[in-house]
Amino acid sequence: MERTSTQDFGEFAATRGRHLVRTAFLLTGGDAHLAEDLAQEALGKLYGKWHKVARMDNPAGYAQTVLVNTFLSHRRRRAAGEHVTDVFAETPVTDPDPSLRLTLLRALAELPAQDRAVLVLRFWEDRSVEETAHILRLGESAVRSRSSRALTRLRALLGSELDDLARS
Amino acid sequence: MPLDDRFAALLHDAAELAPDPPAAELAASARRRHLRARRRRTAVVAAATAVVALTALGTRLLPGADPGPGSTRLAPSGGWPEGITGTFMTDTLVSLLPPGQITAAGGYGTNDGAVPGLPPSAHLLYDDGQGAGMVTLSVDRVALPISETTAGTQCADPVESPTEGCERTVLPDGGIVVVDRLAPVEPMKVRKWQATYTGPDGRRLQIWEVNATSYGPPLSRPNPPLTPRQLTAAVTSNAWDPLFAPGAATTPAPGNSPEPSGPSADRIIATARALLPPGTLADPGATQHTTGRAHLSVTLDGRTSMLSVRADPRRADAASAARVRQAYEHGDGVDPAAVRTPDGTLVQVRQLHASKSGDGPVLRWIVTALHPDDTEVTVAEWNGTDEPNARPGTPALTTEQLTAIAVAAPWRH
Repeated sequence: MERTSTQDFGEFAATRGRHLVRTAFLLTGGDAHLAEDLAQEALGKLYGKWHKVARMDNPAGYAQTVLVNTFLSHRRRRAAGEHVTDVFAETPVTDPDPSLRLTLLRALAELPAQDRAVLVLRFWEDRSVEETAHILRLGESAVRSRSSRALTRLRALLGSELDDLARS
Repeated sequence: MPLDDRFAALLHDAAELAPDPPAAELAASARRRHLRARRRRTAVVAAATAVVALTALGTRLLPGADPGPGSTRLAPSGGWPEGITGTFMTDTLVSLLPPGQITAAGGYGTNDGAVPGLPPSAHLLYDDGQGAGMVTLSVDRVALPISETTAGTQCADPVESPTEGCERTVLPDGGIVVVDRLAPVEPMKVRKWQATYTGPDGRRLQIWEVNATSYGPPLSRPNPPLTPRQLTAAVTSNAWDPLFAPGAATTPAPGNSPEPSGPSADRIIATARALLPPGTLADPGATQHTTGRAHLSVTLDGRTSMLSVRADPRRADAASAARVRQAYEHGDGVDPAAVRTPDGTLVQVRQLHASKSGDGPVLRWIVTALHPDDTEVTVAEWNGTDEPNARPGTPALTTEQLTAIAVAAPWRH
Protein backbone atom coordinates (compact mmCIF):
# COMPACT_ATOMS: atom_id res chain seq x y z
CA MET A 1 0.00 0.00 0.00
CA GLU A 2 1.26 3.42 -0.75
CA ARG A 3 1.37 5.59 2.28
CA THR A 4 0.95 9.31 2.44
CA SER A 5 3.78 11.58 3.46
CA THR A 6 1.90 12.61 6.57
CA GLN A 7 1.43 9.04 7.68
CA ASP A 8 4.99 8.14 6.90
CA PHE A 9 6.23 11.05 8.93
CA GLY A 10 4.17 10.00 11.94
CA GLU A 11 5.55 6.52 11.70
CA PHE A 12 9.07 7.84 11.37
CA ALA A 13 8.62 10.06 14.40
CA ALA A 14 7.26 7.10 16.34
CA THR A 15 10.19 4.96 15.27
CA ARG A 16 13.03 7.43 15.63
CA GLY A 17 11.71 10.11 17.97
CA ARG A 18 12.94 8.49 21.13
CA HIS A 19 16.41 8.02 19.70
CA LEU A 20 16.51 11.64 18.61
CA VAL A 21 15.55 12.78 22.09
CA ARG A 22 18.27 10.60 23.57
CA THR A 23 20.86 11.96 21.20
CA ALA A 24 19.78 15.50 22.01
CA PHE A 25 19.92 14.65 25.70
CA LEU A 26 23.57 13.68 25.35
CA LEU A 27 24.37 16.67 23.17
CA THR A 28 22.93 19.04 25.73
CA GLY A 29 24.75 17.40 28.59
CA GLY A 30 21.56 16.13 30.20
CA ASP A 31 19.16 19.05 29.66
CA ALA A 32 15.85 17.18 29.31
CA HIS A 33 13.75 20.18 28.30
CA LEU A 34 16.22 21.44 25.74
CA ALA A 35 16.64 17.90 24.41
CA GLU A 36 12.92 17.58 23.69
CA ASP A 37 12.94 21.05 22.21
CA LEU A 38 15.80 20.27 19.85
CA ALA A 39 14.31 16.93 18.83
CA GLN A 40 11.02 18.65 18.03
CA GLU A 41 12.79 21.33 16.04
CA ALA A 42 14.78 18.77 14.07
CA LEU A 43 11.66 16.73 13.35
CA GLY A 44 9.88 19.92 12.31
CA LYS A 45 12.61 20.60 9.77
CA LEU A 46 12.26 17.07 8.44
CA TYR A 47 8.50 17.45 8.21
CA GLY A 48 8.95 20.49 6.02
CA LYS A 49 10.73 18.47 3.34
CA TRP A 50 9.39 15.05 4.10
CA HIS A 51 8.68 14.28 0.43
CA LYS A 52 12.42 14.24 -0.13
CA VAL A 53 13.54 12.86 3.21
CA ALA A 54 11.20 9.87 2.99
CA ARG A 55 12.84 8.81 -0.21
CA MET A 56 16.36 8.97 1.14
CA ASP A 57 18.09 5.69 1.71
CA ASN A 58 18.78 6.56 5.30
CA PRO A 59 16.24 9.04 6.66
CA ALA A 60 17.26 8.13 10.20
CA GLY A 61 20.86 9.09 9.53
CA TYR A 62 19.77 12.31 7.93
CA ALA A 63 17.58 13.06 10.94
CA GLN A 64 20.57 12.68 13.23
CA THR A 65 22.54 15.04 11.02
CA VAL A 66 19.77 17.62 11.15
CA LEU A 67 19.58 17.25 14.91
CA VAL A 68 23.30 17.79 15.41
CA ASN A 69 23.26 20.85 13.19
CA THR A 70 20.20 22.15 15.02
CA PHE A 71 22.07 21.73 18.28
CA LEU A 72 25.15 23.54 17.01
CA SER A 73 23.01 26.37 15.60
CA HIS A 74 21.32 26.66 18.96
CA ARG A 75 24.68 26.90 20.66
CA ARG A 76 25.83 29.54 18.22
CA ARG A 77 22.69 31.58 18.87
CA ARG A 78 23.19 31.33 22.58
CA ALA A 79 26.87 32.13 22.30
CA ALA A 80 26.01 35.72 21.47
CA GLY A 81 24.59 36.17 24.93
CA GLU A 82 26.76 34.03 27.12
CA HIS A 83 30.35 33.28 27.85
CA VAL A 84 31.31 29.99 26.29
CA THR A 85 34.63 28.67 27.36
CA ASP A 86 36.71 26.31 25.34
CA VAL A 87 38.88 25.62 28.36
CA PHE A 88 37.98 22.55 30.30
CA ALA A 89 37.99 22.75 34.05
CA GLU A 90 40.86 20.63 35.28
CA THR A 91 39.24 19.91 38.59
CA PRO A 92 37.16 16.82 39.27
CA VAL A 93 33.42 17.13 39.22
CA THR A 94 31.93 16.88 42.69
CA ASP A 95 28.38 15.88 42.00
CA PRO A 96 26.37 15.17 45.13
CA ASP A 97 23.97 13.04 43.11
CA PRO A 98 24.76 9.39 43.67
CA SER A 99 24.07 8.53 40.07
CA LEU A 100 27.31 8.18 38.23
CA ARG A 101 25.49 8.60 34.98
CA LEU A 102 24.61 12.12 35.98
CA THR A 103 28.27 12.69 36.65
CA LEU A 104 29.05 11.77 33.09
CA LEU A 105 26.35 14.09 31.78
CA ARG A 106 27.69 16.89 33.91
CA ALA A 107 31.14 16.27 32.51
CA LEU A 108 29.80 16.24 28.98
CA ALA A 109 28.11 19.56 29.60
CA GLU A 110 31.47 21.05 30.45
CA LEU A 111 32.88 20.23 27.03
CA PRO A 112 32.77 22.69 24.15
CA ALA A 113 29.67 22.06 22.06
CA GLN A 114 31.52 20.89 18.99
CA ASP A 115 33.66 18.46 20.97
CA ARG A 116 30.49 17.08 22.49
CA ALA A 117 29.00 16.67 19.03
CA VAL A 118 32.10 14.80 17.91
CA LEU A 119 31.87 12.40 20.84
CA VAL A 120 28.14 11.81 20.43
CA LEU A 121 28.47 11.15 16.72
CA ARG A 122 31.48 8.87 17.12
CA PHE A 123 30.53 6.91 20.22
CA TRP A 124 26.74 7.12 20.45
CA GLU A 125 25.86 7.24 16.77
CA ASP A 126 28.76 4.97 15.85
CA ARG A 127 29.64 7.23 12.94
CA SER A 128 32.97 6.88 11.24
CA VAL A 129 35.55 9.65 11.36
CA GLU A 130 34.75 10.43 7.73
CA GLU A 131 31.02 10.69 8.36
CA THR A 132 31.54 12.80 11.46
CA ALA A 133 33.81 15.14 9.56
CA HIS A 134 31.25 15.47 6.79
CA ILE A 135 28.37 16.22 9.15
CA LEU A 136 30.29 18.78 11.20
CA ARG A 137 32.08 20.24 8.18
CA LEU A 138 35.43 19.57 9.79
CA GLY A 139 38.54 17.93 8.47
CA GLU A 140 39.08 14.32 9.43
CA SER A 141 42.21 15.26 11.35
CA ALA A 142 40.20 17.84 13.28
CA VAL A 143 37.64 15.18 14.21
CA ARG A 144 40.38 12.85 15.44
CA SER A 145 42.12 15.55 17.44
CA ARG A 146 38.88 16.85 18.97
CA SER A 147 37.81 13.34 19.86
CA SER A 148 41.13 12.56 21.45
CA ARG A 149 41.23 15.85 23.31
CA ALA A 150 37.68 15.47 24.59
CA LEU A 151 38.27 11.94 25.82
CA THR A 152 41.47 13.02 27.51
CA ARG A 153 39.62 15.82 29.22
CA LEU A 154 36.84 13.50 30.31
CA ARG A 155 39.38 11.11 31.73
CA ALA A 156 41.10 13.95 33.55
CA LEU A 157 37.77 15.14 34.86
CA LEU A 158 36.32 11.83 35.87
CA GLY A 159 39.46 9.95 36.78
CA SER A 160 38.71 6.59 38.29
CA GLU A 161 35.00 7.28 38.06
CA LEU A 162 35.19 6.46 34.36
CA ASP A 163 36.09 2.92 35.30
CA ASP A 164 33.37 2.87 37.93
CA LEU A 165 30.85 4.09 35.42
CA ALA A 166 31.77 1.32 33.05
CA ARG A 167 31.00 -1.26 35.68
CA SER A 168 27.75 0.28 36.89
CA MET B 1 37.96 -2.67 27.92
CA PRO B 2 39.55 0.24 26.00
CA LEU B 3 38.54 3.75 26.95
CA ASP B 4 36.68 4.18 23.67
CA ASP B 5 34.50 1.15 24.32
CA ARG B 6 33.91 2.11 27.93
CA PHE B 7 32.86 5.56 26.89
CA ALA B 8 30.43 4.25 24.27
CA ALA B 9 28.86 2.00 26.90
CA LEU B 10 28.62 4.93 29.30
CA LEU B 11 26.85 7.10 26.78
CA HIS B 12 24.23 4.40 26.32
CA ASP B 13 23.76 4.20 30.08
CA ALA B 14 23.45 7.96 30.40
CA ALA B 15 21.00 8.18 27.48
CA GLU B 16 18.61 6.01 29.47
CA LEU B 17 17.98 9.05 31.64
CA ALA B 18 16.55 10.98 28.69
CA PRO B 19 12.86 11.89 28.74
CA ASP B 20 10.49 9.64 26.80
CA PRO B 21 7.77 11.82 25.28
CA PRO B 22 4.86 10.02 23.56
CA ALA B 23 5.74 9.50 19.93
CA ALA B 24 2.49 10.92 18.61
CA GLU B 25 2.95 14.04 20.69
CA LEU B 26 6.48 14.47 19.42
CA ALA B 27 5.31 14.17 15.82
CA ALA B 28 2.45 16.60 16.35
CA SER B 29 4.77 19.12 18.02
CA ALA B 30 7.20 18.82 15.15
CA ARG B 31 4.43 19.51 12.64
CA ARG B 32 3.34 22.55 14.61
CA ARG B 33 6.88 23.86 14.72
CA HIS B 34 7.28 23.48 11.01
CA LEU B 35 4.02 25.23 10.27
CA ARG B 36 4.82 28.01 12.73
CA ALA B 37 8.20 28.52 11.11
CA ARG B 38 6.63 28.53 7.67
CA ARG B 39 4.05 31.05 8.83
CA ARG B 40 6.80 33.24 10.24
CA ARG B 41 8.70 33.07 6.97
CA THR B 42 5.53 33.90 5.06
CA ALA B 43 4.91 36.83 7.37
CA VAL B 44 8.44 38.11 6.85
CA VAL B 45 8.10 37.85 3.08
CA ALA B 46 4.68 39.44 3.20
CA ALA B 47 5.96 42.24 5.39
CA ALA B 48 8.88 42.88 3.08
CA THR B 49 6.57 42.83 0.09
CA ALA B 50 4.21 45.20 1.83
CA VAL B 51 7.02 47.60 2.61
CA VAL B 52 8.03 47.64 -1.02
CA ALA B 53 4.45 48.10 -2.16
CA LEU B 54 3.76 50.84 0.33
CA THR B 55 6.92 52.64 -0.64
CA ALA B 56 5.96 52.46 -4.27
CA LEU B 57 2.50 53.81 -3.54
CA GLY B 58 3.78 56.66 -1.50
CA THR B 59 2.61 55.02 1.75
CA ARG B 60 -0.90 56.34 1.53
CA LEU B 61 -2.35 53.40 3.43
CA LEU B 62 -2.41 53.33 7.17
CA PRO B 63 -1.83 50.32 9.39
CA GLY B 64 -5.05 48.79 10.67
CA ALA B 65 -7.16 50.04 7.82
CA ASP B 66 -9.92 47.85 6.49
CA PRO B 67 -8.37 45.42 4.05
CA GLY B 68 -11.01 46.19 1.48
CA PRO B 69 -13.36 44.10 -0.52
CA GLY B 70 -10.71 42.43 -2.62
CA SER B 71 -8.87 40.86 0.31
CA THR B 72 -9.19 37.25 1.31
CA ARG B 73 -8.77 35.39 4.55
CA LEU B 74 -7.01 32.13 4.96
CA ALA B 75 -9.22 29.26 6.03
CA PRO B 76 -8.70 29.00 9.78
CA SER B 77 -8.41 25.24 9.94
CA GLY B 78 -7.05 24.16 6.61
CA GLY B 79 -10.42 22.94 5.42
CA TRP B 80 -11.14 20.82 8.47
CA PRO B 81 -14.32 21.70 10.36
CA GLU B 82 -13.73 23.96 13.30
CA GLY B 83 -14.61 22.77 16.76
CA ILE B 84 -13.17 19.28 16.48
CA THR B 85 -11.26 18.80 19.71
CA GLY B 86 -8.60 16.39 20.77
CA THR B 87 -11.04 15.08 23.32
CA PHE B 88 -13.54 14.30 20.57
CA MET B 89 -10.87 12.40 18.68
CA THR B 90 -9.81 10.39 21.72
CA ASP B 91 -13.33 9.73 23.00
CA THR B 92 -14.53 8.66 19.57
CA LEU B 93 -11.65 6.26 19.12
CA VAL B 94 -12.19 4.80 22.59
CA SER B 95 -15.92 4.40 21.92
CA LEU B 96 -15.15 2.28 18.87
CA LEU B 97 -12.86 -0.16 20.67
CA PRO B 98 -13.93 -3.34 22.45
CA PRO B 99 -13.96 -3.24 26.27
CA GLY B 100 -10.45 -3.02 27.65
CA GLN B 101 -8.07 -0.85 29.58
CA ILE B 102 -7.16 2.47 27.99
CA THR B 103 -4.07 4.37 29.08
CA ALA B 104 -1.88 7.18 27.76
CA ALA B 105 -4.72 8.44 25.55
CA GLY B 106 -4.32 11.71 23.71
CA GLY B 107 -5.61 13.45 20.65
CA TYR B 108 -5.38 16.53 18.51
CA GLY B 109 -8.32 18.38 17.07
CA THR B 110 -8.55 21.01 14.40
CA ASN B 111 -8.08 24.00 16.66
CA ASP B 112 -5.54 22.64 19.11
CA GLY B 113 -2.22 24.36 19.38
CA ALA B 114 -1.06 27.57 17.85
CA VAL B 115 -1.33 26.51 14.24
CA PRO B 116 -4.62 25.46 12.70
CA GLY B 117 -4.90 23.16 9.76
CA LEU B 118 -3.25 20.06 11.14
CA PRO B 119 -5.14 16.86 10.46
CA PRO B 120 -6.76 15.55 13.64
CA SER B 121 -5.35 12.43 15.25
CA ALA B 122 -5.63 10.25 18.33
CA HIS B 123 -3.37 7.79 20.09
CA LEU B 124 -3.61 5.50 23.11
CA LEU B 125 -2.53 2.25 24.66
CA TYR B 126 -5.19 -0.45 24.55
CA ASP B 127 -5.04 -3.60 26.65
CA ASP B 128 -7.59 -6.36 26.19
CA GLY B 129 -6.13 -8.19 29.17
CA GLN B 130 -3.38 -9.87 27.16
CA GLY B 131 -0.96 -6.95 27.14
CA ALA B 132 -1.10 -3.34 25.97
CA GLY B 133 -0.48 -2.25 22.41
CA MET B 134 -0.06 1.20 20.92
CA VAL B 135 -2.97 2.30 18.73
CA THR B 136 -2.80 5.41 16.55
CA LEU B 137 -5.47 6.95 14.35
CA SER B 138 -4.81 9.49 11.64
CA VAL B 139 -7.12 11.07 9.10
CA ASP B 140 -6.74 12.97 5.88
CA ARG B 141 -8.43 13.45 2.55
CA VAL B 142 -7.57 12.27 -0.92
CA ALA B 143 -8.37 13.72 -4.30
CA LEU B 144 -11.56 12.54 -5.95
CA PRO B 145 -12.50 10.35 -7.59
CA ILE B 146 -10.79 7.54 -5.74
CA SER B 147 -9.35 4.86 -7.97
CA GLU B 148 -7.09 1.83 -7.91
CA THR B 149 -4.09 4.15 -7.91
CA THR B 150 -5.27 6.26 -4.99
CA ALA B 151 -2.71 5.94 -2.20
CA GLY B 152 -3.89 3.60 0.51
CA THR B 153 -6.26 1.54 -1.59
CA GLN B 154 -3.93 -1.36 -2.32
CA CYS B 155 -2.22 -3.93 -0.14
CA ALA B 156 1.37 -3.25 0.81
CA ASP B 157 3.92 -4.39 -1.73
CA PRO B 158 5.59 -7.39 -0.05
CA VAL B 159 8.89 -6.53 -1.71
CA GLU B 160 8.93 -3.21 0.12
CA SER B 161 7.24 -4.35 3.33
CA PRO B 162 7.32 -8.02 4.30
CA THR B 163 3.72 -8.94 4.93
CA GLU B 164 2.02 -11.72 6.86
CA GLY B 165 -1.35 -11.06 5.29
CA CYS B 166 -3.59 -8.48 3.69
CA GLU B 167 -7.32 -8.14 3.14
CA ARG B 168 -8.69 -5.68 0.61
CA THR B 169 -12.43 -5.07 0.55
CA VAL B 170 -14.44 -2.90 -1.81
CA LEU B 171 -17.60 -1.78 -0.04
CA PRO B 172 -20.99 -1.41 -1.75
CA ASP B 173 -20.66 2.39 -1.75
CA GLY B 174 -17.30 2.23 -3.51
CA GLY B 175 -15.21 2.79 -0.41
CA ILE B 176 -12.13 0.60 0.00
CA VAL B 177 -10.74 -0.96 3.18
CA VAL B 178 -7.25 -2.43 3.25
CA VAL B 179 -5.97 -4.27 6.32
CA ASP B 180 -2.24 -5.01 6.16
CA ARG B 181 -0.59 -7.32 8.65
CA LEU B 182 3.06 -6.38 8.31
CA ALA B 183 5.77 -8.77 9.40
CA PRO B 184 8.31 -7.78 12.05
CA VAL B 185 11.44 -6.21 10.59
CA GLU B 186 14.77 -5.60 12.27
CA PRO B 187 15.64 -3.64 14.28
CA MET B 188 12.18 -2.60 15.53
CA LYS B 189 10.81 -6.16 15.59
CA VAL B 190 7.24 -5.07 16.17
CA ARG B 191 4.29 -6.65 14.36
CA LYS B 192 2.28 -3.82 12.84
CA TRP B 193 -1.29 -4.12 11.65
CA GLN B 194 -2.96 -1.23 9.88
CA ALA B 195 -6.41 -0.64 8.48
CA THR B 196 -6.95 2.09 5.92
CA TYR B 197 -10.39 3.18 4.82
CA THR B 198 -10.75 5.41 1.78
CA GLY B 199 -14.33 6.60 1.41
CA PRO B 200 -16.10 7.63 -1.78
CA ASP B 201 -16.25 11.18 -0.41
CA GLY B 202 -12.44 11.32 -0.22
CA ARG B 203 -12.13 10.68 3.48
CA ARG B 204 -9.28 8.50 4.57
CA LEU B 205 -8.87 7.09 8.05
CA GLN B 206 -6.08 4.84 9.14
CA ILE B 207 -5.53 3.03 12.40
CA TRP B 208 -2.27 1.26 13.00
CA GLU B 209 -1.41 -0.80 16.03
CA VAL B 210 1.62 -2.71 17.23
CA ASN B 211 2.27 -5.46 19.75
CA ALA B 212 4.26 -3.12 21.98
CA THR B 213 3.65 0.04 23.95
CA SER B 214 5.91 2.00 21.60
CA TYR B 215 7.17 1.46 18.10
CA GLY B 216 9.90 -0.94 19.15
CA PRO B 217 10.94 -3.51 21.74
CA PRO B 218 10.13 -4.70 24.29
CA LEU B 219 7.16 -6.55 22.83
CA SER B 220 4.12 -6.80 25.07
CA ARG B 221 2.26 -9.60 23.25
CA PRO B 222 2.56 -11.82 20.15
CA ASN B 223 0.09 -9.86 17.98
CA PRO B 224 -1.40 -6.37 18.17
CA PRO B 225 -4.52 -6.25 20.35
CA LEU B 226 -7.23 -5.42 17.79
CA THR B 227 -8.35 -7.92 15.17
CA PRO B 228 -8.65 -6.92 11.49
CA ARG B 229 -12.43 -6.97 11.89
CA GLN B 230 -12.25 -4.61 14.88
CA LEU B 231 -9.88 -2.31 13.02
CA THR B 232 -12.20 -2.24 10.03
CA ALA B 233 -15.20 -1.42 12.18
CA ALA B 234 -13.35 1.49 13.78
CA VAL B 235 -12.10 3.13 10.57
CA THR B 236 -15.39 2.78 8.69
CA SER B 237 -17.60 4.00 11.52
CA ASN B 238 -19.89 6.94 10.82
CA ALA B 239 -18.84 8.31 14.21
CA TRP B 240 -16.13 10.13 12.26
CA ASP B 241 -18.67 11.95 10.08
CA PRO B 242 -18.26 15.28 11.93
CA LEU B 243 -14.71 15.41 10.56
CA PHE B 244 -16.00 15.24 7.03
CA ALA B 245 -19.10 17.32 7.36
CA PRO B 246 -20.80 18.58 4.20
CA GLY B 247 -19.40 21.93 3.23
CA ALA B 248 -15.92 21.15 4.44
CA ALA B 249 -13.24 21.41 1.84
CA THR B 250 -12.71 18.25 -0.15
CA THR B 251 -9.22 18.99 -1.27
CA PRO B 252 -6.33 16.94 0.13
CA ALA B 253 -5.24 18.06 3.55
CA PRO B 254 -2.20 20.28 4.16
CA GLY B 255 0.98 18.27 4.03
CA ASN B 256 -0.66 15.85 1.66
CA SER B 257 -0.79 17.92 -1.46
CA PRO B 258 -0.53 15.54 -4.36
CA GLU B 259 2.68 15.39 -6.29
CA PRO B 260 2.36 14.60 -9.99
CA SER B 261 1.72 10.89 -10.22
CA GLY B 262 4.45 8.80 -11.75
CA PRO B 263 4.08 6.18 -14.44
CA SER B 264 2.23 2.95 -13.73
CA ALA B 265 4.09 -0.12 -12.53
CA ASP B 266 3.46 -1.80 -15.87
CA ARG B 267 5.01 1.07 -17.76
CA ILE B 268 8.03 1.17 -15.48
CA ILE B 269 8.53 -2.58 -15.88
CA ALA B 270 8.28 -2.31 -19.66
CA THR B 271 10.77 0.57 -19.77
CA ALA B 272 13.19 -1.16 -17.43
CA ARG B 273 13.00 -4.44 -19.36
CA ALA B 274 14.02 -2.66 -22.54
CA LEU B 275 17.05 -1.16 -20.79
CA LEU B 276 18.40 -4.34 -19.21
CA PRO B 277 21.73 -5.70 -20.51
CA PRO B 278 21.39 -8.28 -23.30
CA GLY B 279 20.80 -11.77 -21.98
CA THR B 280 19.11 -10.65 -18.74
CA LEU B 281 16.03 -12.59 -17.70
CA ALA B 282 13.42 -10.44 -15.97
CA ASP B 283 10.44 -11.53 -13.90
CA PRO B 284 8.18 -8.90 -12.33
CA GLY B 285 6.10 -11.55 -10.58
CA ALA B 286 2.46 -10.89 -9.73
CA THR B 287 0.61 -7.79 -10.90
CA GLN B 288 1.88 -4.69 -9.17
CA HIS B 289 -0.49 -1.86 -8.29
CA THR B 290 2.05 0.76 -7.31
CA THR B 291 2.33 4.09 -9.08
CA GLY B 292 5.73 5.54 -9.88
CA ARG B 293 7.66 2.47 -8.83
CA ALA B 294 7.92 -1.23 -9.55
CA HIS B 295 10.21 -4.17 -8.94
CA LEU B 296 11.41 -7.09 -10.96
CA SER B 297 13.67 -10.05 -10.39
CA VAL B 298 16.63 -10.12 -12.80
CA THR B 299 18.97 -13.00 -13.64
CA LEU B 300 22.23 -12.55 -15.51
CA ASP B 301 25.22 -14.87 -15.73
CA GLY B 302 23.63 -17.24 -13.22
CA ARG B 303 23.06 -14.59 -10.56
CA THR B 304 19.61 -13.45 -9.50
CA SER B 305 18.86 -10.17 -7.73
CA MET B 306 15.88 -7.93 -7.18
CA LEU B 307 15.64 -4.54 -8.87
CA SER B 308 13.47 -1.74 -7.56
CA VAL B 309 12.89 1.08 -10.02
CA ARG B 310 11.30 4.37 -9.15
CA ALA B 311 10.51 7.16 -11.60
CA ASP B 312 9.31 10.50 -10.29
CA PRO B 313 8.26 13.30 -12.59
CA ARG B 314 9.34 16.84 -11.89
CA ARG B 315 7.84 18.15 -8.66
CA ALA B 316 4.88 20.45 -9.06
CA ASP B 317 6.28 22.95 -6.61
CA ALA B 318 9.07 24.91 -8.29
CA ALA B 319 10.83 25.68 -5.02
CA SER B 320 10.81 22.02 -4.08
CA ALA B 321 12.19 21.05 -7.48
CA ALA B 322 14.93 23.64 -7.08
CA ARG B 323 15.90 22.27 -3.67
CA VAL B 324 16.17 18.76 -5.06
CA ARG B 325 18.40 19.94 -7.89
CA GLN B 326 20.55 21.91 -5.48
CA ALA B 327 20.93 18.84 -3.26
CA TYR B 328 22.14 16.87 -6.26
CA GLU B 329 24.52 19.56 -7.39
CA HIS B 330 26.04 20.41 -4.04
CA GLY B 331 25.25 17.49 -1.73
CA ASP B 332 22.74 17.69 1.08
CA GLY B 333 24.68 16.85 4.22
CA VAL B 334 24.27 13.11 3.76
CA ASP B 335 25.08 12.39 0.15
CA PRO B 336 27.93 14.08 -1.68
CA ALA B 337 27.45 16.13 -4.81
CA ALA B 338 26.40 14.14 -7.87
CA VAL B 339 28.42 13.46 -11.01
CA ARG B 340 27.19 15.20 -14.15
CA THR B 341 26.94 13.23 -17.37
CA PRO B 342 27.55 14.87 -20.78
CA ASP B 343 23.81 15.37 -21.34
CA GLY B 344 23.40 17.11 -17.99
CA THR B 345 21.97 14.24 -15.97
CA LEU B 346 23.18 14.22 -12.35
CA VAL B 347 24.05 10.78 -10.99
CA GLN B 348 24.71 9.48 -7.50
CA VAL B 349 25.96 5.92 -6.94
CA ARG B 350 25.83 4.49 -3.46
CA GLN B 351 26.49 1.22 -1.72
CA LEU B 352 24.76 0.60 1.57
CA HIS B 353 26.54 -1.63 4.05
CA ALA B 354 25.12 -3.85 6.71
CA SER B 355 25.88 -1.27 9.41
CA LYS B 356 25.51 2.46 9.44
CA SER B 357 29.17 2.87 10.30
CA GLY B 358 30.04 1.47 6.89
CA ASP B 359 31.24 -1.86 8.23
CA GLY B 360 30.02 -5.21 7.04
CA PRO B 361 29.15 -6.38 3.56
CA VAL B 362 27.32 -4.28 1.02
CA LEU B 363 23.62 -5.12 1.00
CA ARG B 364 22.19 -2.64 -1.48
CA TRP B 365 23.46 -0.92 -4.59
CA ILE B 366 21.62 2.26 -5.51
CA VAL B 367 21.89 4.62 -8.44
CA THR B 368 19.88 7.82 -8.47
CA ALA B 369 19.68 10.07 -11.51
CA LEU B 370 18.18 13.53 -11.88
CA HIS B 371 17.52 14.06 -15.56
CA PRO B 372 17.70 17.44 -17.30
CA ASP B 373 13.89 17.66 -17.24
CA ASP B 374 13.99 17.00 -13.45
CA THR B 375 12.63 13.48 -13.80
CA GLU B 376 14.23 11.52 -10.97
CA VAL B 377 14.98 7.83 -11.42
CA THR B 378 16.20 5.50 -8.69
CA VAL B 379 17.38 1.99 -9.42
CA ALA B 380 18.16 -0.17 -6.38
CA GLU B 381 19.44 -3.72 -6.41
CA TRP B 382 19.73 -6.30 -3.66
CA ASN B 383 19.85 -10.03 -3.14
CA GLY B 384 16.76 -11.62 -1.65
CA THR B 385 13.02 -11.43 -2.04
CA ASP B 386 12.33 -8.33 0.03
CA GLU B 387 14.31 -5.21 0.67
CA PRO B 388 14.43 -5.20 4.48
CA ASN B 389 15.97 -8.67 4.46
CA ALA B 390 18.62 -8.11 1.80
CA ARG B 391 21.52 -10.58 1.81
CA PRO B 392 25.18 -10.02 0.96
CA GLY B 393 26.67 -11.41 -2.23
CA THR B 394 27.61 -10.37 -5.73
CA PRO B 395 24.49 -8.98 -7.44
CA ALA B 396 23.32 -9.80 -10.95
CA LEU B 397 23.95 -6.33 -12.40
CA THR B 398 26.96 -4.11 -11.85
CA THR B 399 26.63 -0.50 -10.74
CA GLU B 400 27.62 0.52 -14.26
CA GLN B 401 24.69 -1.44 -15.62
CA LEU B 402 22.37 0.07 -13.01
CA THR B 403 23.62 3.52 -13.97
CA ALA B 404 22.94 2.86 -17.65
CA ILE B 405 19.34 2.05 -16.75
CA ALA B 406 18.88 5.09 -14.50
CA VAL B 407 20.24 7.70 -16.92
CA ALA B 408 18.46 6.40 -20.02
CA ALA B 409 16.43 8.93 -21.98
CA PRO B 410 13.18 6.88 -22.12
CA TRP B 411 12.42 7.86 -18.54
CA ARG B 412 12.06 11.51 -19.47
CA HIS B 413 8.71 13.06 -20.11
